[in-house]
Amino acid sequence: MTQMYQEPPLLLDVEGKRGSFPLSSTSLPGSRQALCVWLPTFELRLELVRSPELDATSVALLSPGEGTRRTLWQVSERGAESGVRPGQLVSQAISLCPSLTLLEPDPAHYDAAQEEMLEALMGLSPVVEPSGLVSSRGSSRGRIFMGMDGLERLHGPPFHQVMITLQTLLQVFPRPLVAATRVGRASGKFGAWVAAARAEPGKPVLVPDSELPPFLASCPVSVLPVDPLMIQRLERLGITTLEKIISLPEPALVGQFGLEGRRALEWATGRRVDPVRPLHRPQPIQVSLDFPSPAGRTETIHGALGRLLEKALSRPARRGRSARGVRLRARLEGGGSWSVEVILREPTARKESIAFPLKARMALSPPPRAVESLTVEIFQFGPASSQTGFFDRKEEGGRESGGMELEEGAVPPSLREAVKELKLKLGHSPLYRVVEVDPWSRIPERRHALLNFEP
Amino acid sequence: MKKLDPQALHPLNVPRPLRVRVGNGGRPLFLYLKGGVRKVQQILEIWQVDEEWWRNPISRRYARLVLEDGRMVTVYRDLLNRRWYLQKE
Repeated sequence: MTQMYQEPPLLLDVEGKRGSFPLSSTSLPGSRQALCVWLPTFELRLELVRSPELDATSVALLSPGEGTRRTLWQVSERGAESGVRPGQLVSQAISLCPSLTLLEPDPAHYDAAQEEMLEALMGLSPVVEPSGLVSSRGSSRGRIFMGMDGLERLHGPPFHQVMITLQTLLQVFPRPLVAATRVGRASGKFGAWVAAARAEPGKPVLVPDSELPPFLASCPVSVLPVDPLMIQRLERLGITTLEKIISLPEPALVGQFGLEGRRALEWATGRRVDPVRPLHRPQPIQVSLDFPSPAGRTETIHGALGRLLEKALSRPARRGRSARGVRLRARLEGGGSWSVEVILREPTARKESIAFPLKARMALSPPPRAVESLTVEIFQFGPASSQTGFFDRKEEGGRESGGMELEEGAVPPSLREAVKELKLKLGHSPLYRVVEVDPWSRIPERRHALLNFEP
Repeated sequence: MKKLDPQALHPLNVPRPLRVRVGNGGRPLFLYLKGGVRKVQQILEIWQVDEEWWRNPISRRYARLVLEDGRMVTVYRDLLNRRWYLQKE
């Protein structure tokens, strides 16, 4: 398989953001010994697995979530040989390499592959943690930490553990993809990550505790998961390796860089060990709609988004919780997918408060083609909202306690009960309601549709 | 009512094929409806819709008609397959 181009330094990913992992306090329970499994340019490799005929060509994956000025996200090594780099504008890249094949990102496919990878590795260790949030930008997909404490008697010595891990990955990924995987093992996530970044495919880097400080000392400062501006300043000052950081007095570092300076010193010396923590995944709430014909108009998608949020928020599984992280995904006409997601500042159960930031994201990064189906997924939850939500159920018999009429969207308990009984009898709710799909369409049958009614 | 897929949106007012006897210039004269043949009393309006030429082209010539029994209906001729449809609204 084609080798992928990596932008130096090692921990600087192709979006220009520094590699990062969720930080955790050493006082929290978790696994001290960490194994980092890293598949660089995960998304582009998945595309090449899907279209093997592109393997011998110059290929680049377009950045997700950008408007008219599209840039490159990941570039194959053959493309890099022509001078094509991640972050370049498409026009620049094409002028450098006219035969460059550009691929639209398919975030749903990448997320599914990441999930498969997590599931497979969970069979080896009970403590598995993905690196950072899996965002639509997708920079942290393909990088997973496994807690290895106490697994020697199960999987043998460290090298054996690595081999078993790679064999497990073969269950979900084809051999060329697994062969490109880099593996590092050390105490704490930082050490394991640096080890994986220094490893070569097929040559894992295992760092015993006694060798961790000298191993880290030789690394460039760019491996530190701190603000990129701090790295820039350090490099301008001639502090290019962790060894040079260690030689600096702590008060000087803290004086210059604050808390990040102290953290940098702790990581550089190997004093700070961030344990791997088990991934807690509440079951997401997903609702989908298939459009009768591909929808290209923003108003149509906005309308469908409203209906989907309404359905998702009214699911019994949501009760007692508010939404914090919401993802909007679409299957596109002619194949491929699209997604945007938001993490809400204030968890909420109000449809409008969730729809607004999603629509704003959509405006910045609209679906590139017409949408065949739309899915809303609530994947992070907050505490029960104290707001009197639009969709909160009224428990009084069809009327508010104050004698007010039901608000629009509220469902009288009597109707809810009737639907429940019908569902018990028939296995599904036979009630439908009329919803606006594309009220301004010139084609009458596209203006309204029936949607299953499940209060 | 037939069982519908609860996950899907089901379009409303889907047009139904219709038999039409036409006169000069392709104007509808008689409609073969379920209740029998109905003469077209008056053509209120004619308009054309051309959509989605880049995907699945749609080309329809609509006519809003008053029938002999006083009913108003909308019909169209699909200019691609040359067939007539009754458009529910």
